[in-house]
Amino acid sequence: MTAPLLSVQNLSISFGGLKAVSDFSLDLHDGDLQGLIGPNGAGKTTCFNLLTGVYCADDGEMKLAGESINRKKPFQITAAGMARTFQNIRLFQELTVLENVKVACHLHARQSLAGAVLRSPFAGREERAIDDRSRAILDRLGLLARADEAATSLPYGDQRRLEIARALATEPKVLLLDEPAAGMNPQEKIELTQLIAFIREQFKVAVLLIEHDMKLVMSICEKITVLDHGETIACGNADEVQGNSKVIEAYLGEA
Amino acid sequence: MLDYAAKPRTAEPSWLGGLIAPAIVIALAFVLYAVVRPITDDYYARVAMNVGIAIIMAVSLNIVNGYTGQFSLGHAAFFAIGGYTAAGISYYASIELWNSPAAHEGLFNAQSGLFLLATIAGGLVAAAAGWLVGLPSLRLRGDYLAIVTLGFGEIVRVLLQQTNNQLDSKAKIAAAKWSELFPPPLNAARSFINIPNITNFFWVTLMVGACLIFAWRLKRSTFGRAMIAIRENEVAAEAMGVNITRLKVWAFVFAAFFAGIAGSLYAHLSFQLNPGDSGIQRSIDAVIMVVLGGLGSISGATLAAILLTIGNEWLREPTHLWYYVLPLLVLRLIFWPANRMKAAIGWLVALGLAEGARSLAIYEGVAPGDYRMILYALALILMMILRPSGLFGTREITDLPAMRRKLLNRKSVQRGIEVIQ
Amino acid sequence: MADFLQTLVAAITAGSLLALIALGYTMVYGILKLINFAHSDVVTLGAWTSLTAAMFLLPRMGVDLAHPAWWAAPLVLVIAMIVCAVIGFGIERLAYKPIRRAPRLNALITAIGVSLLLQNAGQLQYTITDGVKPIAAGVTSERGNDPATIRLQTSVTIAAGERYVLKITPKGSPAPIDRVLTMPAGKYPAGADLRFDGTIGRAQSREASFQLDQIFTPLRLPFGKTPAVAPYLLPPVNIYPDYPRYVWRHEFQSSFTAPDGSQQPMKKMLNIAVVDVIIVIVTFVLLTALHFLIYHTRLGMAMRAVSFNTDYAALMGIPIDRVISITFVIGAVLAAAAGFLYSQKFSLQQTASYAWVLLGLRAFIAAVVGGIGNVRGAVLGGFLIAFVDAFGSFYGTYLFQNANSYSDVLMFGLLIAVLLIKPSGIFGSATREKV
Repeated sequence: MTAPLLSVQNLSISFGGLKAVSDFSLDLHDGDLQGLIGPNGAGKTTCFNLLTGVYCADDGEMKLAGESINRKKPFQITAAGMARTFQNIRLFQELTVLENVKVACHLHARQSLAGAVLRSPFAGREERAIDDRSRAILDRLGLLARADEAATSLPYGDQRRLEIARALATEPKVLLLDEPAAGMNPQEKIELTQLIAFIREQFKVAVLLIEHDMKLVMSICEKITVLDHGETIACGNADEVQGNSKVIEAYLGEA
Repeated sequence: MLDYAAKPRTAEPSWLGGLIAPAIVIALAFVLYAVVRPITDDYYARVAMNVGIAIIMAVSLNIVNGYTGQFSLGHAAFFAIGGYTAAGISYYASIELWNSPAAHEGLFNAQSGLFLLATIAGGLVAAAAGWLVGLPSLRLRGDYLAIVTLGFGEIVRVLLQQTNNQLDSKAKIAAAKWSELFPPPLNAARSFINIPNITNFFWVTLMVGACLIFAWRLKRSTFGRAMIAIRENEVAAEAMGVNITRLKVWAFVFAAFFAGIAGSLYAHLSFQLNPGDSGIQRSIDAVIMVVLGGLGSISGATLAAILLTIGNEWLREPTHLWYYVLPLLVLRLIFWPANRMKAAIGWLVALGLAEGARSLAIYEGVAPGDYRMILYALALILMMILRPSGLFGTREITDLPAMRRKLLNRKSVQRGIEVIQ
Repeated sequence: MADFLQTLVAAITAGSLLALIALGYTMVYGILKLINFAHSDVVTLGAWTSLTAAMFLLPRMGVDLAHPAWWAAPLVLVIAMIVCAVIGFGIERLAYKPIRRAPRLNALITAIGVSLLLQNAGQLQYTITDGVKPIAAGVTSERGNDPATIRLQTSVTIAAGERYVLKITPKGSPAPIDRVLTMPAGKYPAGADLRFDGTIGRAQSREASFQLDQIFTPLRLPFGKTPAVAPYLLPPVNIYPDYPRYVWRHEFQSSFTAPDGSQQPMKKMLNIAVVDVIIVIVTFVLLTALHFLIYHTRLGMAMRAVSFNTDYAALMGIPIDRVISITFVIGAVLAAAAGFLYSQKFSLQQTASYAWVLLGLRAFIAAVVGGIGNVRGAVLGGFLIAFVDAFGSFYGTYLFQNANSYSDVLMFGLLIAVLLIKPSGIFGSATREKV
């Protein structure tokens, strides 16, 4: 077995005495699709915030493709190859759909500022490449027809998809999806399931998914980690997790 | 790297395309200087140049306040730093080289070269100051940044007041002790005077053009998009790989650079500078222009700079048309009644109010200029409540045709629906 | 010793005033997360309302301003508080309430707008004492004439005893040059030449247009002319009959080094004025009352709840609008008290004078240093700032000359340092943005 793409060891953080996440460990390999579940307030989003550098872990070790990403800033972690979406949608609202994706392409832009302002041929070519690439990504996610609309004018489900498109434009190796199905109707959820499988295939990314919808998680994730009160209470495939007494207890309360 | 079949596009971009706009600006600068200026009254020429300086101030502040969504209340500090630096260089160099700070005749001579160098130096010093202030303070949240930049303006004012007395001849410079040269002799709390009067239509047009082209291309580049992303959502921008601190500091540095250039133009236009030039009033003027024009819109900032600067002049006259223009503009922009009847009534009421205000002002003999700041303050508050995006929002003048088409489209669709029902 | 004690007195009084003002900033910030830029203008308003009340109300009530009755000062203070409370309430309802849900930047701009509005409205109210009415226009009848003559384009009647101002606008000049004139009374037809004394400067060599305005004193300004100096309303304390304004004076013997190197004796006075004592007492009373209100009443609990989380507080049935309004009113009342006390300690010159803006900024810095949103922090921050300022400015002069002109630099340096090292202030607790 090769070294994992993303390896997390004993990640911990506490906010003023409250242990939000303790001893969180995770291995994500190339092409994996893993789930992270748990009741409200279990620390799932905090985990994402730790992984992407929004919060700084008190303790623990994070490695992305063999490189330590401890204490790195969010944009450095994105540059290292891990992108995320947000639970509460955070699009650039005044920008168009296309521009939203283009912003994420900034990371890999090689032009200099002087080149951009003086309109050097290189900057021009790159600008076109960014345009093409962004349109191509939108095309794959079925948003190309609305490329020139304002991001806010999209319906809710499309906004979630745009978040994914934007994250993909940073050319990630690992994609973190924070409740992508929240607020979607059953039909949209089915489409989302297909979409996740599709992008995993097409963009060659490993996916880590936070989701409340058990059916969705159980149906697509190969491995599931369950958090409760910041602690990992179970880890394994769908059947193992569903049979785990601690998990049942956490979700249903003590019987 | 993913493999996407690039669609065939139009011709390859070349350096030439990027040179069209600068060429137009230079040509325009020559035309304005050689053809328009000789037939323009001194007074109007001065107003026009002030408009140009205001445009540079507003458009450059827009890079910070509009693009990145940070809030600087200290733009005048960079204006003053650039102005004092450039004026200090050109004044003392003129004395050293030509024994007099008086301006030379003609457009291109040694002194204009000196002026250009001094102006760029002023811009660079202002940019350096912007970097020094920006680096620590841009880590702060928006409202704190406003206070810190406000404080920076104050600090600059105090420091300028501690400079040495102005030296007015070559002999005095030669005889000056080190303690008289440091801090630099910029005439302390009094005005630094007799700055060579070099600013003319050519230089103003050139600098305004440079500033507009820079702001425009920055906005349309990947850097500008990243800056706007910071304004829209800082957390998301950083998660998308945008180095927010660096871009914010850059925005601050660019804004400071052009503010410094505006300061130099102003200094060489009005013969004098005062420590008060770095104070809150000038900063607020620029903020008002940016906010009224629409945060992030270059066209908006430009238009607001033109309107407010000319408006200031108009407001000196109680009998002026401005009384009608302002309420009508407000009505048109803020309320925009959909129904034709209502719109007509609104226009009539606005006209009536305007005439009332005008007659009252004439009767009372009040100079409406006294109410200028009250009007602006009211406009600012009303704008935030009723139309927070300003005149243009984030859009540009070039977006207008598309908007109009869209609007018409929506109207025709609506009409269609009504017909069906 | 005398210097030290005198500086201490200055620091304590300034600290009290700053604490009163800083509370207004911090309470509003705690609840709305808004820097109320207009707060310093409410302080100014408090000072000027009390002044106006003192100048116009008290004499009509039979109070001799030179020897004010004991109740004059409290009465004026209460009037100022009421006016400021109404204005504070109005500001919140009209300007801040509509944008409560808007982005922070919009709120900030609105606050700046309100501040500008109050400043400039106040400036008009108090500084325009003379108005002008245009009565005639004219043109230069000859070039380069001296004494100057203008040819009237319209007929005009010049009344005896009135003052006139001639506005000369040379062609190409942006602003007219004003010259006040006295002219022989009479009726002048259109086309007549009007002579006046003196030259018209630049206009001599150029064409110019003229406008003759009559100067008049408008009657309709509600507060009329204002005096440059506030009347001292605090009743004298007759401990030292010669120095009725002082509670305590003491002469210290000190010495200084003369230029020749010898030690020369020198007298130094330590003054504790009535106003200093009153400032400390009033501040103490108000702060105690505020503390009681916030920590021991239901209203205070509601305020703390709203400050903690507005949405949750609303769900708990707390009337948010009312609580916010009350917060503004309390802030304005404290500001009015600070303004009144300030006007008693220092004389007033001009409404929108820079001193007010700086006082407001200083109080804001105090609130930030103490931890904005934290009521106790604001008080401590106020005193801290005042001590740093007073002692820094005074003892700084031993280090280098005119150190006290750098006091603003020191203040803002302190602000920047605090924001960078501990942005939540000395007494504040850190908050995280929810992602």
